[in-house]
Amino acid sequence: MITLHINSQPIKVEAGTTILEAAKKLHYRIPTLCYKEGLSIYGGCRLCVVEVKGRSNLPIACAEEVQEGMEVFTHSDLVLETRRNIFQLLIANHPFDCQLNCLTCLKSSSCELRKLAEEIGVGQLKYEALHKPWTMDTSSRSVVIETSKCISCGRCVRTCNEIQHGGILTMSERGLATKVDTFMAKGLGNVDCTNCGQCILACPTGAIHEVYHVNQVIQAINDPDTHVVIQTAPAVRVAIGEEFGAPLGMNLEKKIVTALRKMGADKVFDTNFTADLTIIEEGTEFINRINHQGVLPIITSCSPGWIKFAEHNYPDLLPNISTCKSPQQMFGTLAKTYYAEKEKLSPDKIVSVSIMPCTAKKYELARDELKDDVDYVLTTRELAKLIRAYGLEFMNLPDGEYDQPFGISTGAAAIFGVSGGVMEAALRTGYELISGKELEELEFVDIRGLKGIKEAVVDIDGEKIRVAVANGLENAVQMLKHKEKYHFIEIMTCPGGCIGGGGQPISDVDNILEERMTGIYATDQKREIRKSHKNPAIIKLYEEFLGEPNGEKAHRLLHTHYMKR
Amino acid sequence: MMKECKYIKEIIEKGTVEWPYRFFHQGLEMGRERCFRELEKSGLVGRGGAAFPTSKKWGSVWDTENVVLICNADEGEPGTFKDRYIMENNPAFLLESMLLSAFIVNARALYIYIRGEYTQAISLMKKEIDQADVVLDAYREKTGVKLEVEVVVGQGAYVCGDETSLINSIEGVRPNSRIKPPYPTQKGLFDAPTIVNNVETLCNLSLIIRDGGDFFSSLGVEGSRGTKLISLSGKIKNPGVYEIEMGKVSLREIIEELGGGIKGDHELKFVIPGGISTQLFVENEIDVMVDYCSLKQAGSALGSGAIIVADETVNAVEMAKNAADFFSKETCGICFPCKEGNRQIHNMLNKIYVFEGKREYLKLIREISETTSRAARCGLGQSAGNLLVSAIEKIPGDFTYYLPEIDLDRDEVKK
Repeated sequence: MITLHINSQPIKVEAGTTILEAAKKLHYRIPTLCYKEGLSIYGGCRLCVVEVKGRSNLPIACAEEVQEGMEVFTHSDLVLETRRNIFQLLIANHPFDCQLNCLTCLKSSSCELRKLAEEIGVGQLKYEALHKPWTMDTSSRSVVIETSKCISCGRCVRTCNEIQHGGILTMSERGLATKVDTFMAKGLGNVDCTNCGQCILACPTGAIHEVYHVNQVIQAINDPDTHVVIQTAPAVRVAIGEEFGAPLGMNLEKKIVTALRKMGADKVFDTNFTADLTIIEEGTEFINRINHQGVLPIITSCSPGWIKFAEHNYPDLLPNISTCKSPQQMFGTLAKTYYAEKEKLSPDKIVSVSIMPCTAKKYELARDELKDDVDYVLTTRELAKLIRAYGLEFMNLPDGEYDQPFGISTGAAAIFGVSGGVMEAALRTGYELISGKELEELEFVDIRGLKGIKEAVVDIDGEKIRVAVANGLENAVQMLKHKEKYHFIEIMTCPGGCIGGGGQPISDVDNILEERMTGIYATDQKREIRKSHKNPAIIKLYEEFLGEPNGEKAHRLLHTHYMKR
Repeated sequence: MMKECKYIKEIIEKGTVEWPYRFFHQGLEMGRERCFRELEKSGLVGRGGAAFPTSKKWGSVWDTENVVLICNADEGEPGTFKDRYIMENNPAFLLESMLLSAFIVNARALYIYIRGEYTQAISLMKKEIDQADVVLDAYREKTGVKLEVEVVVGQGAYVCGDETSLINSIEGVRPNSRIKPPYPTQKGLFDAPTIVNNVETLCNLSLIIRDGGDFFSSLGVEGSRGTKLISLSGKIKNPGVYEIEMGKVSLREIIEELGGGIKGDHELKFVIPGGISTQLFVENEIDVMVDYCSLKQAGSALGSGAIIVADETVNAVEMAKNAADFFSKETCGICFPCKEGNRQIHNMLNKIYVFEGKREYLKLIREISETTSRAARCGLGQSAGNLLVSAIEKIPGDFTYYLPEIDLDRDEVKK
């Protein structure tokens, strides 16, 4: 243990602790910007400088480790002045004074620079505003980079490299021109980007955001000739409340339904319904592969970021990936076939909108082999925007119920929103379909939680099925090194699964993923039916329309293929 | 009286033809422990600018395996050309000093990182290394290590003179400075313990082995032992590389006696004693002795020994503007105070230069420079403002000339 003084208060901490961590223990928050928990130390912003007795320069608290007898001052005059000046320098190069930037910014309500200005005590510009030329990278279908807002803190770069194994973003140019860019400045749409959007969550200034579909959706709703059907994904309902001050993790699906209906959506459906359908199709595919010596391990296909990542980096694994479309795309197909037939609507009058925690879904809908099934994707953040745009008092809205026939779903579908959920749902169904026995213990605790890689062995009728779950692409890469060990693998692109998706509200709550996860599992608990194959609407769908699971029609409509990129 | 001392320069110029690589062989015979003891006695400090005790640096990896030794020949400091002089005049001397040093620190890999613009030095060094089979065999016989000497050619970033940036550059990644700790001696090139030393520092090793640490330390003064190569340039009659015994010669003597005084019919206006990251001296300040301590006490630094002399035709604002241009190109772009501070300073000086400046700029420049010197991540940022601020302080006339009175009035009215 090491004893030191911070602001004249003694504290004992473990060797290797940084000044930042030690100060936090004493309840001092030292302002940080380029620092982000879970990422490597960057040491760029220098806002966390502190004074250490006996040192002439000011070390940075995020990188400097404590030493015996150290006397640290986190808020001395010298420190405060230095911090203010650095902040002044930084803000003079961030465009906030023209084109109503602050009002239109993604981070207008969660701007880290604004919070820092308050914390550091900067109220007026001191240095001349020297803004970068207004440039935008709009080459991607999912993610936009507004370079002019970028302050080069490198959080997106480190997130991409360290969490997502991406290497898509990097620092380019030299000297004052240093900026975040893609390989050879080709633009995000022309490199191997998975569109996961984790860089959006990492960015403190709103320089990276999703490609907005809000206006197109409003237009479609207002167009009397179109029939707008909207689906909502499992992870959206437990996160949307963060935008409206609701208790964290609260399931607000019923308020979402009311809100969308009030905006004028013709039908509000639940992606959970097609999540159940995915389980039937994927489960059947898995059983068939086991029984007929097919390619194993089978890997889930719900996460479009992972799919693109695999197409770029694991072309050899493409036969392993389940051919099932993702729940979003299955829904899109059914809306324009089954639903259109049933309601006697022309498919081209239907505008299919999905609300997703995900930015990669915006790319997925435009893939050649999936085209036209889904028309627009709104992220959770865009849904919040839309709700505000209609002036709805979200938390005071009455509860509403999903429309039929795509409104009934099981607990198994609800947990699609968390890492391990698809696997657990598949096991609940797979167990019963293979063994013919009823599954007593529904909770597969080994594959729950936020750990990056999770494993379990499930005994189904004497057969030991080995499964693995990874969330975050870096974890996926590590796990795939031992892929032969498993029969069934679930991979979710984002840390925590869809609850941590790139389209989710940007939160500064440390344990936000746990809160959202708790909300998801609570939803599962409350559902009467908790196994996908027991969903009566699904059974009916097969009887009325699809025929057999994995049958000819199901295959034509609900399955897809992948390509080496 | 001629003040130049010819200790290291003699070898550089005359070479060691009669017995090639004799210092290196002498070191092999002595063994690394005895060599290191001589180094400790010598009091040698790094010649690249930071003046860190060489024995301390080497001692920290003494018992470590897999040490990498890098010779820093990325001589990027404007006004410095002494390393080039060594490489171009006697590449064998540098190579043998490098090998000797590698032997003492028990290195498994040896690099020399040469500034890309030094095409002649690069080809000479490469040629020398190609011909050094015999010496390398001797090295292998003694140590069991098959040492390969690799030449890395710099791509033109000033910040690569910083050892951590240089290491990044060799690794092939963006040359930003790294956060210290870990120091390169703990975790350097490809995570191996790494020693980075300047060309001149390593060359001094040969002399310490030849004459003993005690003799070396009898030269110079406390804290600045031995001799120093000086790159003398600017408005003087005899620019060039000179060698001085540290602490025994004043800046004025160097300029007047070695440099032959100011060129033409002009007066001395100011002197930059250690490259463009150090504070300048005006005429009445140059009786200071040239060694690390004296110059530091006088408010500047010896740096790498780049003495730049200016006469009254030199405009301090123009010089400051050029320095700011330089730093805004050369900042690695990572740490905010350095990048944004240099952006602001660059903007203000360029405005002053076209008569669009404001008086408050001078205050702001000083303030930014102070902030940056306290908070920047590496030596580049910490010292980038030194020259500008000293110019504003010591040669205010040049600056006020560019700041139109009408603006002054307006500012005063505002207050």
